[in-house]
Amino acid sequence: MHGSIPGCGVDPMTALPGKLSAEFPSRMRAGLARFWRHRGFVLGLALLSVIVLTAVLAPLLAPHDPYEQNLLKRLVTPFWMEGSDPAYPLGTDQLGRDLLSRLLYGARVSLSIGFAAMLMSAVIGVTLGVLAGYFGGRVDATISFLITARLALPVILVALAVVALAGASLFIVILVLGSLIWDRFALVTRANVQQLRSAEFVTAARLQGLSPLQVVLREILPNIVNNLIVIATLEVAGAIIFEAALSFLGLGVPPPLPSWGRMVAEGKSEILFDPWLITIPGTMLFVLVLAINLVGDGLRDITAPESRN
Amino acid sequence: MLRYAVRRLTSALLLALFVSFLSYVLIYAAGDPAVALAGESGTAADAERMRAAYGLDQPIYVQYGRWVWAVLHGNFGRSLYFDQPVSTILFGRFGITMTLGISAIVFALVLSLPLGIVAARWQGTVIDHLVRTIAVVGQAMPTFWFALLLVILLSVTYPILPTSGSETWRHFVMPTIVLGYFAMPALMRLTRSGMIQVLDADYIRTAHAMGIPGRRVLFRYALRNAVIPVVSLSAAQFGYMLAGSVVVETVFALHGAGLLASESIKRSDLPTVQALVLCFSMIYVVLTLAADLVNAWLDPRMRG
Amino acid sequence: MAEAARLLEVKDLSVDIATADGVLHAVRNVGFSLNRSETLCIVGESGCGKSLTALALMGLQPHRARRSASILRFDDVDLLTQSPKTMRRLRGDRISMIFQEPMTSLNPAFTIGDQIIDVLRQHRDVSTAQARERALQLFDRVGISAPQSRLRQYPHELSGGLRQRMLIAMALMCGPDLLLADEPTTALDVTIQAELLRLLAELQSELGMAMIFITHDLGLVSRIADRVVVMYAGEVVESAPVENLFEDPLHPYTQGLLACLPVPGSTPRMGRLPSIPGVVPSLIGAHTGCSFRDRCAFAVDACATGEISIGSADERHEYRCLRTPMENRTGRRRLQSART
Repeated sequence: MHGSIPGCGVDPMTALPGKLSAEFPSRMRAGLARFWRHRGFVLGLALLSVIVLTAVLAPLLAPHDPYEQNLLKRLVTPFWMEGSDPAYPLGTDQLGRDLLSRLLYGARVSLSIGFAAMLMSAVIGVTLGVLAGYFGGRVDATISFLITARLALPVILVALAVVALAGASLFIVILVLGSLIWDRFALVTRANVQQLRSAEFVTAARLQGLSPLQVVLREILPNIVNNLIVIATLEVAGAIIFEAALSFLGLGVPPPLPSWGRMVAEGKSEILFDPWLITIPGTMLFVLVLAINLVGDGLRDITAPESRN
Repeated sequence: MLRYAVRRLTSALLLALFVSFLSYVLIYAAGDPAVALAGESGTAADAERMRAAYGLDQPIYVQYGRWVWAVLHGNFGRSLYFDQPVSTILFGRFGITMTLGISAIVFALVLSLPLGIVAARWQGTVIDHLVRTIAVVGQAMPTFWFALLLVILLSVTYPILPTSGSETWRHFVMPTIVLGYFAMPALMRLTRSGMIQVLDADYIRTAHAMGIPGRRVLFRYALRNAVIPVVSLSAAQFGYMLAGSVVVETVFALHGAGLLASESIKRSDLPTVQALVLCFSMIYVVLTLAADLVNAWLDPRMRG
Repeated sequence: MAEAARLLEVKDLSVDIATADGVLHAVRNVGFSLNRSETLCIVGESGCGKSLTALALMGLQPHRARRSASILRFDDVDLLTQSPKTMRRLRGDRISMIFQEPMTSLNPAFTIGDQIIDVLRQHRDVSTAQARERALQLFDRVGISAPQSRLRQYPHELSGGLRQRMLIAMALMCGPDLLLADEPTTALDVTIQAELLRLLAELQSELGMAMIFITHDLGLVSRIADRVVVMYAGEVVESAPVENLFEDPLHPYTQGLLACLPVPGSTPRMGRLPSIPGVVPSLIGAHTGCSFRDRCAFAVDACATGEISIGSADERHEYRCLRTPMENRTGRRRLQSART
């Protein structure tokens, strides 16, 4: 915008808007500040770290063997109630198993299932989403139909039926969950890939002769990774709840593996007099899922606040 | 409008058919149903008998074809456990599940819509944060745990409500709250974000500039636009709730379709299971179809 | 001008917006007045605060923004002290506003009829049939064809020009004394622009309505304005009757704007149109001196300090500059001759 005709205003003297010179260090500070402003994210991250840490260190932290039954010490109350035993800080269940130890090992079960199922569903979902979003046309129509079919499927029922027929095991549960919960991955990936497909840098890459696979891997995926991480976080939470529900209904992780869901189910019979058998594992589930959700929501707010939903 | 409806109807039917086929395949891929039918103490010979008796030796597509043909004639087969036609059993059970589902979605909407609107209108204030907290907490609560908590609170500690059965309306209070709370977070968030977007729109500015009272702008002009995605989501949520009714019905011993499904699976009563899967997915498909049609009515631009 | 004829009086109108980087002074001490049936044009480039000024008049500034003024009077109503309810009653009734984007300014979920009839019924105690009658009358007057069927149509079925006519009709439903028009023709074809301008001028004289027309197009200004207010970086830099502004611009910015207009006959063909180099300064934080100094050919050291207040060249012509009218006139002539 420099006038080449002499005299119409002083030309080389341009007034730069405000703050460019001082901007760089303050930008970094602003970025960090954004993270700290999200108190929910920080809280969730803290909680999650504690839980993951205790799960990893369970063998060191657990006072007892979670499978060990002690019929002399059945239904001992937790430490805040009378009649408790310091050797069993959170009490014991009907078979005399230490609740705290089961809780710690149960965290491992929940977290590993959640994570593994999420990974499997991510692979399926992202692949489908990429194929649908990139190739469009008939491929998209077919895959969209598949996705809608998956959404129409009563997943809990199908999961229950498959576990019942195939036999309950950690592996089967992960397999079943992973093959059923990929819908959000697929939908989001598809939408994002569709958007990016018409972007200039993608067209440029294709013109350079890159194969579709290379275009996807090099240009498209790196740009949607943010969204995928948010989805992944939320799907871990979803998988954990799903497994807990299956175990609660008796068709999840098989006994004697400690699953918080099944601990709640087992505690149901003692609901009248010993409700802590239900409230303690249930609360742990709630806290874990809450923490993961807070982290996921926080990540979404930080990376793409416009997509808040 | 009519052509749109017909188009959607045909694709909905195709979808339901495909879903039922999918579940057929999945279940048979999971394990040998003949073995399951023979029971835990059954021998290989028992399994063979089962196979012959139920036509399980035929190829899958033949079995499936036969089943579809029967279904189209209203014949869902015979329950292996009750030794009655499945259709008779389904009817009563679905009545309970639908009652539960409808009251739950109504409960959810009655709470979510106003809360979402209020949160959008007073975005960033304490009210907004409160609403968002409710949503966040709701999303993290496992259904079965919330159900049991309510039981502990409202039946054990303070005996106000009954814990099991389905005789009176009181039996449905806690299940409705639990199931409704399951759908609330998503509905609240969608209402809120939809309203925020709409309130930012130019046509809302026009309404204010023309002196339309604030409340009218909010509840008539803004809401009509913001509610469009909520309708679709409500239908989908209702579908999920039906599937999630398994847990609620188990906890509260409500003899609905969800509990039947769980029990039938454990009893290897496959005809019933297949029929239930079909019914649940049909309900979801019909609901989303209805939601699309309502949307087309609400948003004139979509009728094209 | 007698005080009684003054329809609108604005003095020291300011709008501040709190941002993450500080307070943004989007509108600074803007003042002007308007008589009945008069047309005032507010001219300026994008971001100079002209739209925000109009919104602030109506009390429609964004929630985060804070409005302040020493005088903000409409007829005998003090706009500063009105309750939200009375302000709401004024809007659409005595003061109306039309905006730039006709494509998105109508509610897509309701028919045209629903929306326009509601405007009248919210302000007057009339029946739906009566409101309908009035709407049809106005449709006819603003040149909308097949008015009956239009009432039942939805906005997405209509073109941009048609939608803007409807918005004009909507704004006139209650017979306002003042119409604020924020670049209503910018988003439309040039031919439709001309038609709508003519329509607005006609309506104005018919209805005895005052109009504040916001635009960045000086060509438009010359055609419709009685008075012009030139804004830059949130401030009024010059304000004058339209002939005076074009013949005798006193502020260097106005002079620059006018110099950028191609003039048939005198602008050399294939030559470059002059432009004003530089960028608008940031409006965040404290501000001293003249906002235009970095782009001004005549700037001196004194321009950077203190507050440059607005002074009068004569009774109706004001401008915000340290230099005298004579100095600016001479300077302009020198630039003009240097150019040719």
